[in-house]
Amino acid sequence: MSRLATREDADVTDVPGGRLGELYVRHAAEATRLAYLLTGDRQLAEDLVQDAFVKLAGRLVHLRDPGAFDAYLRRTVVNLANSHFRRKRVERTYLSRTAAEPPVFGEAPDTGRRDELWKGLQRLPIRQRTAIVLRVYEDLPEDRVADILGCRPGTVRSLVSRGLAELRVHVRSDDDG
Amino acid sequence: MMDDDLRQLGGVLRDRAAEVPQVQDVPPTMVARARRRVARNTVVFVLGAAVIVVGASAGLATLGAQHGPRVAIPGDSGSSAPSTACAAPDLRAEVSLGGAMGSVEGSIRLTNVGGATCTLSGRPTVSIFSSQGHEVVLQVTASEPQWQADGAPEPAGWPVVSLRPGSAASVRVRWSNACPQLSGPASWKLDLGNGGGTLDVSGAGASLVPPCNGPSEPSTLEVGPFEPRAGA
Repeated sequence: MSRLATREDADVTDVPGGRLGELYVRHAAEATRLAYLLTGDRQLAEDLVQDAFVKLAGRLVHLRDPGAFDAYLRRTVVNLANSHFRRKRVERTYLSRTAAEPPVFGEAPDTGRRDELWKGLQRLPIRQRTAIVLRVYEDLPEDRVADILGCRPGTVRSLVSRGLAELRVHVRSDDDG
Repeated sequence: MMDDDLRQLGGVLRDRAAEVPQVQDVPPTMVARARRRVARNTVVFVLGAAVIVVGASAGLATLGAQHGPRVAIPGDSGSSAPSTACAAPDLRAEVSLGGAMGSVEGSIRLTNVGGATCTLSGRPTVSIFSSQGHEVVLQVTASEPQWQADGAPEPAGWPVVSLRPGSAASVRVRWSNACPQLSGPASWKLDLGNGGGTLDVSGAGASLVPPCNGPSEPSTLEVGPFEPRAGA
C-alpha cells in the first residue's frame, strides 16, 4: 500500500484551488514526510512539495488514472530532491561542513542511537538515502524503486546495502566516540 | 546491518515522518504559481499549434507554386514541409559530467554551428573509449529525457528538436560501474543516427571515469533522447 495514497476518504471537496487543492490536501502531508526524510529539512521539504504540485498542475488533465497521481508525485518529489542536491551542490558542502561540526539536524543534541541513525542517514549520498527511504519507509519493492531512480533493481540492492553499511559504520564510530 | 538495526531505522523514519502534520490549508501562493504555469503552458501550446498550422500552410503554398494545383488529402505525407536533419559537420558536441554516487552523469550538449536550422530526433548512439583507444563494452539502456525526469511540460515540437544556428540540444547520460577499472581518462563519441555521422565529444568532465563497484556486473550507460537544451 502506498504511503502517498492516504486520506482517500477525507472530505476534500470544498477546498480552494479546485482539483489541485483537493489533491494537495489529500497527498501533501505524506509527500512532505517523504521529502523531509530525503532532505532532513522541514522547510525545504515543504518547498519541494509545493514545487512538485506546481509542476504537476499542468499535467493533471493527462492523469487519466487517478490512482497514478501518488506515483507521479513520489517520482517528482524524489527527482526534485535529487536535483536540489545536484544543482546546488549542497550535498558536498553539507558533507564537508557536518564532518567538522556538531549535529545539524534534530532539535536537541541527543546522542542516543536513534538520533545517530537519523543524522547518519542525512550524511549518506542522496541516491543511497533515497533508495533506503523508499525501501524501508515507503516499503516499495526493488523494481519500483529502480523505476523511480532510473536504474536496475540490482543497483537498488547495491545502493541500499552500501548505504546501510555506511550507516552502521557511522553509528558504530559515534558509539565509540 | 542486523535486522534489529533495520527495524530501529524503520522506527526512526516513521517517528521523524510523524513530525509532519496533516495538511489542512492549500497555500494560496502555490495555487497562484500553478495557475500561471497552466496559463503559460496553454499559451505555448496555442503558439506551437499556430506555428505548425502556419508552417504547413506555407509548405503547401510552396509546393502548390512549384508543382501546380494540388489537392491536399488527409494523411497525404507528401504535403508536409521538408525538414533538414542535422549532420555531424553542423554540430559541436560537448559533454558536461560530474561524479554522482558511484557513477558519472550529466549531459551532452549539441550546438548548431552551421548556418541553417536543422532538426534532431530519436536517441543517439554513444560510445566510450579508453585512453588506449579501445571501445569500452557497455550495456546501454534508454533513459527518460531530463524534462520528463524534472516533471516539466513536454517541450514544443517534441520529439523533434529544431535547432536554429547557435542554439543547442541536449542528451542526458549516466555511466556507471566502469569494469574492469580504466587506468586512464575516457573519450566519448556520439553517432547521430540516420546517417547523420559521428561526432567527437569534448568538454569538462569528458575524461571522468566512474569506479568499478561490481566487477561481475556490466558497465552501464544510460542515454536519453535528443531534447531542447534547458533554458535555451
